[in-house]
Amino acid sequence: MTGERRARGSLAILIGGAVLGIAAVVVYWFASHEEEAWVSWNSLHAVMLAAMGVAAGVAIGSSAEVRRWTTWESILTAVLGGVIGILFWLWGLFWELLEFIKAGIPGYGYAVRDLFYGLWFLAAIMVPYIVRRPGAALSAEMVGAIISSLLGQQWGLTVLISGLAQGGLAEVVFALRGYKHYDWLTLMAASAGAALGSWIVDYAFWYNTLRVDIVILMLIARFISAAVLSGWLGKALSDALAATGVLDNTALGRARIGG
Amino acid sequence: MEGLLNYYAADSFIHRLNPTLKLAGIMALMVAVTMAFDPWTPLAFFLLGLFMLKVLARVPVRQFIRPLLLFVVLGALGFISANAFFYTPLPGRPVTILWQAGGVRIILEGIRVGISLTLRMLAIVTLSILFVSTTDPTDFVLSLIQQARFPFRLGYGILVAYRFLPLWRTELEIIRAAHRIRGAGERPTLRGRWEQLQRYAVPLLASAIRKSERVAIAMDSKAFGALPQRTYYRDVHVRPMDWAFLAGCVLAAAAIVWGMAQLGLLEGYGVVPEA
Repeated sequence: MTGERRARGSLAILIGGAVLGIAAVVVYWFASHEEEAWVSWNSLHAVMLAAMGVAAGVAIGSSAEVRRWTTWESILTAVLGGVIGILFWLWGLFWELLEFIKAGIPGYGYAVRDLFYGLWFLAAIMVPYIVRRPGAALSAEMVGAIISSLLGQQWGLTVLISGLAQGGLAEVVFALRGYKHYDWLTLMAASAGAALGSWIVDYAFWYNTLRVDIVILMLIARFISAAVLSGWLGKALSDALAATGVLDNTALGRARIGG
Repeated sequence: MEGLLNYYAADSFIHRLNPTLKLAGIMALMVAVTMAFDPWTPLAFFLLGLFMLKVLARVPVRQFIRPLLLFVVLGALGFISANAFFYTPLPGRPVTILWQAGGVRIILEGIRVGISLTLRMLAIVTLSILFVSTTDPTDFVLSLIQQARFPFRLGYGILVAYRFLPLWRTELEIIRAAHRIRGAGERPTLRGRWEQLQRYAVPLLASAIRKSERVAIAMDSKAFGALPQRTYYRDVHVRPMDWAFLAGCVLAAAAIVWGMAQLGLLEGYGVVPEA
C-alpha cells in the first residue's frame, strides 16, 4: 500500500468521525436550547452523543475504505474477527462467574471485575496490527460483535453498539497515526480508545444509576485491562502467529521479512 | 456451532421481515427501554417482546426459556446488589437508607433501580432473542450488504466466518490429539487450563488463517468482486410491511412511554444524574 493511499484513508476516516461527532453535539445543543425544549442539556449526554457520532462517522469512512481491500484482506479480517468473536462469547460466559465474585464484594467489586474487560477489544487491536489497512479495527470488532451476538449473549444486540463504539474509537487512533505506525504507543493508545468507547456505551445502557466515583474507577480499570488483555496480548499473539509463517502474505509478515 | 441462541426456522410475520429493518425496529425499542429507571416501563417492553416472540413469531417457549432464565438470575444478582450499594439518586430526590455501617450503606431506591435494570436486561434479552431466532444469519448478512450499504467484501467474509464456526471445534480436537500423542498432557486445574489455552491458541488461529487464505484464493480465481456490478444468489427485498414494522416499533415505544406517564408510573425518563 502506498503512502498516498494510507494518507487518504486516514483523512477520510478522521473527517467522517469529526463531522458526525460535531454534528451530533450541535444538533443536541440546538434541541436543548429551543424555546420549548423537550430535552435539557446534559454534559454527559453530549459526550456520549459525540462519541457515538464519531464512531458512526468512522464507520462511514471505513466502509468506503473496505471496498478497496483485496479479497484476502477482507476474508482474513472477517475470519479472525469471527474466531475472536467466539472468544468474546466464551468470555461473556466467564464474565458471569465474575458476577458472583463481584456480588460478594460489598465495595468496589464493579471496578475489580472490569479488570477482566479488556479482552473484548482484542479484535480491534490484533487485526489492524496484522492487516494494517484503514478500517480494519472497526471491521474486525464489528465482525466479532456480530458473531458473538448471533451466538447469544446476555447483553443481546447492544453488543453491536458496543462493537461500533469500541472499534470506532480504536480506529481513530490508528487513523491519527496515519496507518503507518504500529508500535507499542499506537497499540496502547488504540486499546485505551476502545476502552473509552466501551465505557461510554455501558454507562448509557447499564451503569448510569451508579455513583460517579465507581464509574470513574471502572474506566480506569478498563484502561489497565485493555492495555494487558488486548494491547499486550494482541501484539504477542500476532507476533507468535507471524513466527509460524502463516502471516507472511500480510502487512505484518512483510514488515517482519522486509523490515 | 450450538450457541445459547439459535435461528429457529419457521414461517411467520416476523420471520418474513427484512432483517435490516427488523434490526432497526428492535434497536429502537432497546434504546427506548434504556432511558427508563422505573420498574414498570421495562416490564411493559419485556411483555411486548414476549408477545412478539410467542404470538407474532410463533417461537416455542422451550426455544428461549433456557437463555432467558440464565441471564435473568445472573443479571438480577449483579444489578440489584450493585445499585443497593452504589446508587446515584436523581437530582433533588431523597434517598432512604435501609442499613448503614461505616462507609457502606444500602439504599432502598437503589434496590428499586436494580429491579428496574434487571427488567431492562430482560427486555433487551427478549428482544435480542426475537431477532436472532427469527433471522437466518445468511439473509441477515445479505440484507446488510444490500440495504445497509455494508461493504460486500467484508459481508462475504462474515458468511465465510459463520460457515466455519462448527469447524473450529473439530480443529481444536485435532490439535489436542496431536499434542497428546506427543506426550503433552492436560491438567484440569485452573493453571493447567491457562497453559493449554496458550498452547492451543496459536495453532488454532494459524489453521484459521491458512483456511481463510485458501478461501480468498478460491474466491479470487472465480473473479469475486472483479466487476463493478454485483449480483446475489439471493435478493433480499424491502416491502411496505417492513417499513410498517419499523414505524410500529417506534410508535409502540412512544405509546408505552406516554401511557406510563399518564398512569403516573414514569420516573425520571431520559434523565441521567449529572456528574
